[in-house]
Amino acid sequence: MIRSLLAILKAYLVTSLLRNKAIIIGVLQMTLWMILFISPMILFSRPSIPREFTAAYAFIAILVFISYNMASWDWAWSLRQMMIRGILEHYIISGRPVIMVYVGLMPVGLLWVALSLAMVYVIMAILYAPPAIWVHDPLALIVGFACLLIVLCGYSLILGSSMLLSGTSGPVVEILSWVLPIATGGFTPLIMYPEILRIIALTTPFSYPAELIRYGLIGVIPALPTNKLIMIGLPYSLCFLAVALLLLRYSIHKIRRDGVKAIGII
Amino acid sequence: MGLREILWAEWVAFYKDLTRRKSLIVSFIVYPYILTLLFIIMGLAVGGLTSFGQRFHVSAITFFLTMSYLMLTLLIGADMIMQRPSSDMWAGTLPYILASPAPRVLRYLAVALPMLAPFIVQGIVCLTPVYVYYYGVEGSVLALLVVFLSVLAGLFMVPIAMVIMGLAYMVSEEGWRIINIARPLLLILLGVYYPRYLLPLVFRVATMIIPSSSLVEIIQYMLINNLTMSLASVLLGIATASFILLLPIGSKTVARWEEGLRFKGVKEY
Repeated sequence: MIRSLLAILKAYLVTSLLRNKAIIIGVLQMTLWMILFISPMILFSRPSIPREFTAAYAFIAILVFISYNMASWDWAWSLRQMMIRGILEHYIISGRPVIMVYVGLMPVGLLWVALSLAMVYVIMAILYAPPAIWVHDPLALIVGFACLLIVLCGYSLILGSSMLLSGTSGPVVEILSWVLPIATGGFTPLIMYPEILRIIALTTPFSYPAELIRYGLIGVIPALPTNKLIMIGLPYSLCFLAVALLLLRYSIHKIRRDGVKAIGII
Repeated sequence: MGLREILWAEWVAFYKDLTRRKSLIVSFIVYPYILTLLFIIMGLAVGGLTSFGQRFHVSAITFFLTMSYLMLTLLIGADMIMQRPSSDMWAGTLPYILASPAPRVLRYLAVALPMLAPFIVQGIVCLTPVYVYYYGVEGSVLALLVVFLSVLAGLFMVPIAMVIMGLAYMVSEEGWRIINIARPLLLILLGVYYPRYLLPLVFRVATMIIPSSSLVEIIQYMLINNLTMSLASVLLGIATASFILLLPIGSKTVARWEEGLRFKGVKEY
């Protein structure tokens, strides 16, 4: 099991970071996309609010967005890639649990997120102002990041399973990775949402980590008291992950019974 | 083989694929709205819609919806051209393309044209209701003008896409890696989300080599109701001149790449 995990980690590390100057190209590409999406945010800034605070809000929004993107395109999409290349059947037959693929991918995915955030910070500091980030509440921040990681795992497992079950295509994944953080308070504090949208966002497990991280990092007042956010957010995230694991198990069982879906390249 | 035959072949290939994949049609419709929503929500977090309106004299919704639609229109044709060698290599059709006597410019215009056609419908459906809401009945005329200019801007991306594609694949067999960098860079230089007129003059002049960037600027001036006839003529003239200037350069770059490929041979996948 450990050998399999290390092999996945090594393969992913080589393809996404080392082969053909992938890290340089990846960082350059990411920087340019970030400039494209960060620069219009400056157009909204209010002169009365210090630039550093505006930058901090934007930084958290980007943190959430990059995390969802990574869970969609690095973790969940890898299962589809395995299907396209005909590797998945071999992997299932080898008797190793598919979850190991995710565990092997995670360190490199998280490394990319960290690298991206560092780039975003530098770009913001150059183009606009350095984000005013300080640890406002360490407990909320730690629980927030833990919840985010759990929710991302659950989300990517559900997305991966749905690809195995239905052959979900690229555009669907792309739309999901945009809509989810927008609809669940990933970009804007829930307190600024209309009542009905706030309630909808709080019924999903995605809103809790974003609210906790925002409070923990820049002290934005959350939609619920912090202790309530922690008390509900953590168990809710774990339940979400458990459901996702069950769904993955079911999808593998279905593949064993019916075979792999025939899907297109995109 | 003339433009009509190539166009028909590209048209059939594209529309068979489009109608086969319903998710692609849905994404065509919802993408401009999702991108607009993204910028509006992010804008709410960092300042607000009022400050945007006060600064630019246009509603943020109108601006970002138009720019998101424009970005997709600009990207689709250019992207299809830039990704073409990779997809042809995978499909095994690259040797036939290399052997084809069809003129290169016509070949790549034919790639972009079918892609741009659905954007006429998308633009009318997506922009007209919003423009009528913000500008009144005159908004429908403005929407039609914006759609026309956007599709023209999409078509004007062909020569620059040919240049980038030719250079990228000449430099490396895995030219798509360079194209992945060129794509966002091109969008920044086009000034889609961050208007070019807010940038320093040197930068603005440098971006004039990209034909579509001048058309993007015309649309932005139209939205803020600040477009004079003389400015529109100058920008349209620059766009047309750079398009005509870049066409032979694009053709020559692709020819150089094809020449090298004929010498080395096409990789089989």
